[in-house]
Amino acid sequence: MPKLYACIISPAAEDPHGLMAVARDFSYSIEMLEDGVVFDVSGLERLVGKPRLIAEKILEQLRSQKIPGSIGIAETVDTASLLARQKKGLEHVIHLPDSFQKLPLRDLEIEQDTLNVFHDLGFRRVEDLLAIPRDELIRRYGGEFERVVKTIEQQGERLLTPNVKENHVAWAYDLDFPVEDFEQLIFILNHGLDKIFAEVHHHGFSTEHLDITFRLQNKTGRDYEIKTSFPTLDKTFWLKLINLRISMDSPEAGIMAFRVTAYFTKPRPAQRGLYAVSRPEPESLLLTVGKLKKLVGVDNVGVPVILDQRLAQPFALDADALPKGKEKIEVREEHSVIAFSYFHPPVSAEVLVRDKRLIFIRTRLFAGHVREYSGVWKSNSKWWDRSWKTQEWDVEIDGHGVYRLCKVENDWFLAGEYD
Amino acid sequence: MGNLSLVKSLSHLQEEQKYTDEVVLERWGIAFLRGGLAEIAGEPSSGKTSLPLTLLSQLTQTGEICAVVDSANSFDPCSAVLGGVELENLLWVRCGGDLEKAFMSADMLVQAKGFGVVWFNLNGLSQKQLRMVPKTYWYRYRNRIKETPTIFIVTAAEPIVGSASQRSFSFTRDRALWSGVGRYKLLREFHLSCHSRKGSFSQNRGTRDNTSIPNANPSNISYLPTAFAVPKLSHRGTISGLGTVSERRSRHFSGTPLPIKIEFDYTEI
Repeated sequence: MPKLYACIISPAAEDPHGLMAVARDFSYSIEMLEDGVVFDVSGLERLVGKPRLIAEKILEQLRSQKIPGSIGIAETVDTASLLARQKKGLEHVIHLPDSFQKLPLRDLEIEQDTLNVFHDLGFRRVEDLLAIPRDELIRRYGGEFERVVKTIEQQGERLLTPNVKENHVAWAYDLDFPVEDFEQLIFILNHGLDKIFAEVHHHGFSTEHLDITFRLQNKTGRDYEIKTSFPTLDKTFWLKLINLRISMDSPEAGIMAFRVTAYFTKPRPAQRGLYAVSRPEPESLLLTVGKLKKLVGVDNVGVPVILDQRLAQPFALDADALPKGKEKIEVREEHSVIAFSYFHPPVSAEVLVRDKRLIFIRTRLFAGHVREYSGVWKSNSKWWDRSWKTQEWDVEIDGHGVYRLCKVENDWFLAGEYD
Repeated sequence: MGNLSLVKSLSHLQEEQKYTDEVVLERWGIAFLRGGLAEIAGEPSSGKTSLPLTLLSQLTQTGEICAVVDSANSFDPCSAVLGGVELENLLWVRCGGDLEKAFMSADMLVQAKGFGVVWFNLNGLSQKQLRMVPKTYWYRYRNRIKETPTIFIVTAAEPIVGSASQRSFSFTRDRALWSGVGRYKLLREFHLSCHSRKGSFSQNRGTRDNTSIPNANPSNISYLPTAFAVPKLSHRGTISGLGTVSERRSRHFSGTPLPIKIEFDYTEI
């Protein structure tokens, strides 16, 4: 069902109570702007009629409250506010979506340089831009211009951010008898999430943060904070995530009561475009990472990070991070290097050294003569509390591979292979 | 005769692949099919780890999210950075040598859909253990992956995937090139040979392409018995990259890209 938004731009916006009162007569989802108010009037078509009639009703209310203002009504927040702003200051004017095409380009928040180019080309109104191919516009003026194209096509992605005092909603449930296994409570939680998500949605918000509090049989409490990197009201997703989180660290006693709190967040706009590259859906990625952590351990799934230290293994795994899918501005040419592959645990070795030269190596994997080697290398970043004990060589073994050979005190081992 | 209607036509088998585009590594002269399972096998120090890193580099730079199933905790992020991989776009799963967990992890990643590459790195696990893995696992991956844009790559010391793979390459090292004399030597290059056991090399085959290669377009042959349908192809190349002494020692700090030279000489065997 298409959405419909109304925007009132008024010189009386400094005193917002009057405007809020007018908006409340038509909608529960209201956002105050610096110079007016925008509110969701979707669904009023059935009660009142066409957008023009809705706008006239709003106008009547404004007149009755003796508030001057111009009204814009359109299917997106951006379009409604642009329409309402076009003749700021005039009293009681209605702007319908049809008049959007006549809007001058200077009202669209386009950079001055681009506006000058348009002016030179003879484009002055939205309808002039709509007459030329949009792909060509984006190609010429870059990705930033996509936003302008969406605005002129009345497909703006800006969402309404209602002004409400509450920042969370909660739901609680007391059980008749203690339950050991949380999975048995999923169907009750399902019912609870239905209720609180309906309330969150009613306020025009979404959520990316749930708190779950258990009252346990042993008179103690247990809190779980569950956060995602994106707002969503997908109940199935939240149930899976909650179940995963609690199964990784279950309460130590039977559950007597629980309470769920959802914190409000601005909903996310649809971000996937026609040319979006391959990425898992955020919900799917988060759930998969949760499942993997349950399988292989919390510290074994994450994003690799390089440490700025001269250590034998100067990297770590950031278990709290998720892959971002960030696009690099300058893509390097195809590039290959000899990769290194670690042995875990390192393979112990017996090494024959003659005249300070490496001659022969025997390990549980192979035995062979050293054909070439380079070294000795040393690596240690924390020299103040550790001596430079580890010595390294790169060695090529006859009939086998190229390895990194290490010596710590009198023990030799292979750290890994070049591959 | 009515039973014959139950037999699917060969053309149907070919159409089951939802994504048909390929990711081409021009310098290596190898193409990977999206939604396909590819296998890279090779002896120690034969370049079987460098190739997946090059592919990861190409895709993570364009913003695709990729994943590494590190069965034996052998993955080296430093090499990945030097190879151009954007670590921010990489999910690293360490399985600590547990084969079962590694296979389950790979399965979860395949089911998540949308990853650019899932690299199932089995280097470091015992071949005896790997040979005991039922072939049905690989068919499961193949079936799961075909409707996704994901390239599923398996690397191991020996070929283990069998007929479930769409592409299979085996690498050998001809020689390692060292520079310098006495104690002051440096590992410079690997000279490699790549043999296509299944599938084909890319049409654009590198810098010294004087040899014609018989048409081995996989779209024509993917459903035929591979041993008969696919000509044995081979090309040779070098990977270089450990630079000067100062570069060699500074790699942990700066992650400076090292100079690289790859030249391929294609021969048919």
